[in-house]
Formats: sequence, C-alpha cells, structure tokens
Amino acid sequence: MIKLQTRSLSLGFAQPLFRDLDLSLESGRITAIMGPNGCGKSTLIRALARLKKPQRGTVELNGQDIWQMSARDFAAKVACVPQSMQLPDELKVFDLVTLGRNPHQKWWQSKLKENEQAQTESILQRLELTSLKNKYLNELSGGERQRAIIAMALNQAPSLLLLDEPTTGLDFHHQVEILQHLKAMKESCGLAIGIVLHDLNFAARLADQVLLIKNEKLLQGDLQTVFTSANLKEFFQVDVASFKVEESHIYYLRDFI
Amino acid sequence: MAARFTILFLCLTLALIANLCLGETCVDPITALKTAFSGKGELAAVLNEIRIPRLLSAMLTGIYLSLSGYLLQKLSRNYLADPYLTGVSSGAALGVAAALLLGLELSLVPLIAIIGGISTSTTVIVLSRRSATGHGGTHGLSITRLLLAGIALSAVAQAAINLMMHIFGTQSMSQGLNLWLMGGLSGRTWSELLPPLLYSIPALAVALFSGKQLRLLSLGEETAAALGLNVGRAQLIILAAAVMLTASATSIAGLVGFVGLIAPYLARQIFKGSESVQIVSVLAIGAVLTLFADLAARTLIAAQELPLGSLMAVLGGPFFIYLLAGIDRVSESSEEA
Repeated sequence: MIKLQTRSLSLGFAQPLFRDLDLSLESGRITAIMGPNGCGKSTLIRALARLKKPQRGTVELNGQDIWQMSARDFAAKVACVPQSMQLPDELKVFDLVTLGRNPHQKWWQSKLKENEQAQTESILQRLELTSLKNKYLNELSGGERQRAIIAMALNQAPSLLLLDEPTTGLDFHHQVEILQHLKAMKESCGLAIGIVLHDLNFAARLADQVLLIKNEKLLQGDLQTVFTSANLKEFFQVDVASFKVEESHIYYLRDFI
Repeated sequence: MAARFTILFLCLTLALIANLCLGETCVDPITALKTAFSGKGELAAVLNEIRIPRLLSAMLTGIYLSLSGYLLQKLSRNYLADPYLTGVSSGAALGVAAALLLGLELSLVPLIAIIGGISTSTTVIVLSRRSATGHGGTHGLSITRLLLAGIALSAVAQAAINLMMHIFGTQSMSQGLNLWLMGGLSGRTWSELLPPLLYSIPALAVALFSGKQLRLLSLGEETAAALGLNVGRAQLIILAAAVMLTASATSIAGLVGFVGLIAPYLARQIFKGSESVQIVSVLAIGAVLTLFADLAARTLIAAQELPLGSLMAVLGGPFFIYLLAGIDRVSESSEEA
C-alpha cells in the first residue's frame, strides 16, 4: 500500500499558482490532474515527484516528508514521466529502459542482474518495444520515444507513477494503448497513478478522482462531482455536455463551430 | 568495434615507438628497447632519462586532458566544453605560477594547481547555469555563458599570472614561466612525473567508475534526480575529478589546449557505445594525439623545440571553429531566449 499525500501545499514562482492543496494519491486509484495551460499542473507533478520544493506545506509518502527521504529511496517507490525530456542520441532504447533500475542498484552496478534483465525484457514486450530495443533514440518517432520513456519509468517498479501529459504526440492507437496499459497496471498491481491529461473523455474513462486547477482555484472529487457542465464551463470556458453510453459518460462540445 | 579498437591501439603503439626512437639520435625499435633495458651507455641514458619520462609525460598529459574534457562535456551536456576553453586550465596555471614564484616544493605544485582549477571552474559553472524556470525545469549549463565565463576567467587568470611575474619574478624566472605557459614537455624528469601521477589516481578512478552516473546526468538533472541520483553530489565529484585531471596535466605540461575538445569528439565519431567504451577510446585518442604532437614539437625544426601548447592551438583552434560553425543556430538562439 502506498499513499502520497499533500498537506496545505502551496506552489508558485513570483506569483502563487495555488494554495493549501490537500490531495491524496493511493494504491489502486488513478488521479487525473486537469486545468488550462499555465495553471500549475506540471509544477504540481514536479512537487509530487520530489523535483520542486514547495513554498509552503508538505508532501508525505506513507506519512514521511519526501524531502527527508533520499532521492534513491523515493525513486524506488515513485516514478515520474516528465512532459519533456532530453534524450541523448548515443543511447539505445534498451540502455534507456535499463536506467530505470538505478534506484534498486548499488552505485557501481552497471550490468543488470538476471531478474532485472527478465523484468526489462517483459516491460519492453508489454510496450511493444522489443523490436526497437537496439535502435538509437534518435532513430525513433516521437511516439516510440514516449513509450521508451514510460518503459524506463515502469522499470523502476514503482508503487506510484506520476505522468505529465504522457499521450502528447502519440497517435490515437498508442494513446489508447498507453492509457489501457495504465488502467491494467492499476487493477493488476494496485499501482497508484497521478496523471496530467487534457482530454475529458480519456479522464472520464480512466480516473477515479479528478483535480481541477485554475487561477489559484482548486476543485477535487470523483467524476460525478467534478465533471458537471457548470464546473467545466468555469474551469475551461467551453460549453460541454455529456451523454451516457454503457455506464460511461461521453463529453462533447455543445456549440462547436 | 573490435577492428576500430585494434587500429587505435596500433596507433598508440606506433606513437610510443616513434617517440622512443625518433629525435636527434634515431634508433630502430629493437635496439632502443634492448639499450633501454640494458641501461648501459650514452644512448641508454638518453632513452631512460630523457625520452621515456618525456613520452610518459606526453601520454599522461593526453590522457588527463582528454578525460577531463570528456567529463566536462558530459557534465555540461555540450560538446564545446574543454578544460582550456572553460577556464579550468588557466586557473590551474595560475596556481602553478603562484607555486613556482613562491618557491614551493615540487610535490605541492599539483595540489596548488587543483585549488586554482577548482576556483575557476566553480565560478564558471555558477555563471553558466541556466535558471530552472522553463518547461521540464532542467538547469543544465548554457553553452554561450560557459564559453564567455571561461574566456573571462582565463583572461583574469592570465592577467594575474602576468602581474605576479612582473612584480615578484626575476627575468630568468619570468622567461621560464613564459615558456612553461606556452606548454611543453622539454626536460621532464621522473621526479616531476610522480606527484601529478599520484594526485590523478582518485580522479582516474572516479572517471572510470562514473559511467552510469554520467549516463543518468545526460538525461538532464531532473530526470537523473527522478531516477534516484543525488545530482548535486554526483556533479561535484565528477567536476572535482575533471579539475584534478586538468590540474595534473597542467603541472606536467603547462597550458595545452584543445586535446580535451578533439579527443572526445573523435571518440564519439568513431566509437559509439557505453560510457566505459567511450572513456577507454577517449583516453587512448588523447594519448595518441599528444604523443604525435610532442613528437612534431621536437622534430619538425632541427635543433629547435616548438611549444607544444602553441602547436596544439594551431591544430585545435580551427577545429573549434569548425565545431562552432556546426552548432544549430536556431537552438542556440532559443536557448538564450
């Protein structure tokens, strides 16, 4: 069981992005973080991933302040897929994915152990990267690179996975596939997931709870509570309506062009 | 890959043999080895007391500078970082000049060079750090700021050396120091070789065992931290190793530039592979380059020795311009925006 919890978290730069956020990410639950550009979604992910110190408040992992933990201990439990990432040309897909094992290795260990090799191969297979594993990263398409980065994060064997717009740049097939894979991991392994998304329908099909952020305003809760026409109008300034198909809500723009 | 390594080590062997056998007195390799091992006669004295310490000095200078350049390039994530261009060499030179003018013991010279190198490199790194406000929030080092800060710090260090020489140095001391600043290996003895060799051992160990940390850092500071690396500590240890290597090289050969730029570039072009492969190829290429450059310095003009540092600058300067011309101007301008 894992629980990443923010207590009265305030984030911002010169101006505050938001104040006093109490959010909890737990095993077997997916939390979608949504809001317009610049509202602080990525900053929140970085604060949750121990990459940005909060201005005020704390982030705790199973009751312990994450800044009291070592980077290695934290990374053994929590993995992060950033919005953008520098990938060196001279690295192959397999090399990148094996770096995910770093939090579980001694600093001088550079070769994979037998079980680590098997785990890496299995993740490559699950993300359809086996045939690409000996390719250099600069030979891949944007979508293939994104899958390689996700594979690296999964290779950390985390209990909690944070993803910042992981489907950006992917074709529709791979968007669906990545999200289905995340849902399957949540159900089979009890993975806790925090994910920044823009697509309401993906969020509706995936998330157990939603956090909306805009101009210092925060709204969180389950889908039924948060995804109302009034809230969506207020946070995204668009008229959104929904209809129900087989227990799922489909969201559409009421007056599109 | 194996064939390329074989060729590289053949080049290294050839460079070593050429440095041993060629000079005012030319001998064939078999005779040279037999005479050196026998230790008898004038030729044996020339080989054992002049040529072998000198070729080892050239080899170590090449290894230290190329490895230092490789570490600095990996650390700053740009291929133009070089101990000479980033001010590390000048800082080390300032330390050495101060040590020589103060008449300190020879064994302390590399230590003072390390202190000088660390002072300038820390200043350069602080001045060239990007803020972490962009998307992705990676710090990294700005290429433009790195080079400008390196040039500025080098100028300050050079001016300080000149002032010290002017105020404290005798004429003969100034001439000697000037010659040394132009870089060269003339008259290197075994006793001058030992202290830098000892100081460089921990730095060499760091360089050889930091492959995984360098690979993690190449993904950017945030990603490296997200993968469990203590980024600040890793950067500090690797930077200290790079500075110690440069300082050791500077205390052996004076100011020799561009080896740390050319060797990693050639290694990247010829050998693709893990960091361990790259490190071995970088130090072998660095050794070959410096051995041939030193051979040229002492044999190109009869009875006259050219300064090794100046010779390397003649080769390295145009190479640096070639690399600079290859930089994507769009990405450079967006970096500064």
